[in-house]
Amino acid sequence: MHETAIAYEIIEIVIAVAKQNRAKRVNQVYIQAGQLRGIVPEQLQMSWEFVVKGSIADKSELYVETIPTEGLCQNCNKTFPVKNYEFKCPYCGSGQVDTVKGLELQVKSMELEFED
Amino acid sequence: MKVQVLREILEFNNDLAAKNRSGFDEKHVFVLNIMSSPGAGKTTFLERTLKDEFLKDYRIGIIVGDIQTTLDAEKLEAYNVQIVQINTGVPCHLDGKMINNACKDLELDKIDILFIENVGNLVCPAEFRVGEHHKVVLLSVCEGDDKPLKYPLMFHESSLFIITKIDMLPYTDFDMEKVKQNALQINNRTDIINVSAKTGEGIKEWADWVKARRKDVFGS
Repeated sequence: MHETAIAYEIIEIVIAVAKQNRAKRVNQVYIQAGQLRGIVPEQLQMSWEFVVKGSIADKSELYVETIPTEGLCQNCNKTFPVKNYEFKCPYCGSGQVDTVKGLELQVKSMELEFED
Repeated sequence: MKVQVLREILEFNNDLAAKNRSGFDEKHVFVLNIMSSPGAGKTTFLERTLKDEFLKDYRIGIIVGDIQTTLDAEKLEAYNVQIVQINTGVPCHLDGKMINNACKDLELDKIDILFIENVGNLVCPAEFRVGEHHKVVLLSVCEGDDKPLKYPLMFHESSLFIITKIDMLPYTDFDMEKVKQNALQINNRTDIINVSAKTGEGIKEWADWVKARRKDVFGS
């Protein structure tokens, strides 16, 4: 369900960018999704097949790059990978941690086809 | 040809949410986005909040989101509050646009605190900002203490975690310490309040939290 809602948002952007570039077709779409977004790539791809139907991006492929979560310790100022959603600094043990990576949700690039 | 796009997928919604938020700020409406799975007790909790009158010095507004029916709004109608029901039809969450539309049916000038009761769902509502000052997540003791780990974004984004139905604790294997540990592991800054809408336990503490956070934003 979550992925379908996201897929609808992506297609809006993809159509807008394709039009802006006067493309004939969209062949590939590259997404960056932070781990905390909980996007299951296969689910998003399934939703994608459905939302692109009849659009300029019909039959396009969607690639999802998952960005691992990274924390920044407020106490010792070090960054570290957050494993198992444990927002605790491995260097000083502080739980005062900012999330610096893992919340991304972006259309990174698209492969477009143009009229000859 | 490959073209760089670098656009936020939720930009459309985020822009609308930001617009809602500046409208709320301008009118000094303090907005809380209340989320949980279906059946955690959002409506009953809000009902008890109104009934116990700890917020009686504030004019309350409520937007209720459901996929179907106006049952929740009907329950809350008995209290002297402005209320709007949104039926999303298909979407499993509220978004910036729905809230923008719903606000047209509210007299925001006459609201100090607006509760937005989101559609019951621990996933999508966490993704879609509506213009709120804070997100609040409810979890009942009937649901399992592992939920913060299963729905990390929801707990990561919420400023307050309310554990509901604590009167039912003796009948479950729900581990209070474990759930708090799980929530704090994901979000060390979250506040936690135990509540029973049946006995009224924790309702005052919740009302005090609302008042304090409102004061942080508007100074009164």
